[in-house]
Amino acid sequence: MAGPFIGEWIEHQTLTYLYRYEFDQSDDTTTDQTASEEQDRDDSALQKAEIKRSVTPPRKIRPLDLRVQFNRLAEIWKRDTAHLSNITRRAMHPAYQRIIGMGSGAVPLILEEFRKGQLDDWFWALSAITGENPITADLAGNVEGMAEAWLRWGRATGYLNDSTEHLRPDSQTSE
Amino acid sequence: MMGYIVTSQQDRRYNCVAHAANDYTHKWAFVPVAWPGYYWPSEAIKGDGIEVLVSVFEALGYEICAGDHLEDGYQKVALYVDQQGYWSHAARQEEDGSWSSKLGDLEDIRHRTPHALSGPDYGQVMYYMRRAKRGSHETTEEA
Repeated sequence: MAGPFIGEWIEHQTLTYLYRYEFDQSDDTTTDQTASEEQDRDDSALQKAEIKRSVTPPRKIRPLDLRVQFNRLAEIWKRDTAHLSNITRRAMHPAYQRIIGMGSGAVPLILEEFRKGQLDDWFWALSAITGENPITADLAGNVEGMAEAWLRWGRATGYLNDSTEHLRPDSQTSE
Repeated sequence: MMGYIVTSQQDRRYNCVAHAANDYTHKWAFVPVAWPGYYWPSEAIKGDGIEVLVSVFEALGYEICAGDHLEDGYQKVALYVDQQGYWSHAARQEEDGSWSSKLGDLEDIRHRTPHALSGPDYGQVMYYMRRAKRGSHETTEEA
């Protein structure tokens, strides 16, 4: 279930907030303090350093982390919603919403899923992230055609490039 | 869910609504964010409430009927609604009076009664609909 993972995320966000709170408080100092006050400040600084060591600081998410995060969320989403037909219900799942929240970084990862033949219901997420919809009316409901339309869009816009072509299932036998 | 047998492999190309309409090549759904996207009959209401699913099958010639018993000369479908009011599932009655369902992206199953799927995931049957029997793949052409 998604519970433990969501719990980890909430814990991370909470600790990050606490860290930021402490950091903000540290700016609230004056220059005319007594020696005693300075000693208190030094103690406080040490305590804050301890907090910094014990709390996960905010950090930039690297591409590798994005892939790991995407795979983990996608696995949770598929496990929890694969039996559902109502796409709105599937898309409202917290893991799916978090993938949308990953923004444009998730687009090549989703397109790679399509290229590997994993034709899951990513169309909502792709349109929500990019604001685009390359699916034409004649393709409506044809999942393979819909995915191919997005793959063409990905190549045209640069979301798919030569460096990821090796992931294509038929790349070793064709061309 | 209990009392069913699996009758197919997993297939992402169609879903329960398509299966109930005898279409094995399209996924039927209305998605407001990406439109056009999935197949949805042009005559049907757009949305996620149970009345939306009723309008889909009305567009295919079905009318609301009383129950899940086998009626000579008629095809029947059962339409489900979940606790939040979303349509959640559609099942189709077979010739022998049993019912068949496609479970999202998973397998087709055969179950004795529509109520075999009732529960937290699919909710309850809200409507039964029927239409006079025609060619078994006619709706595929309509799609």
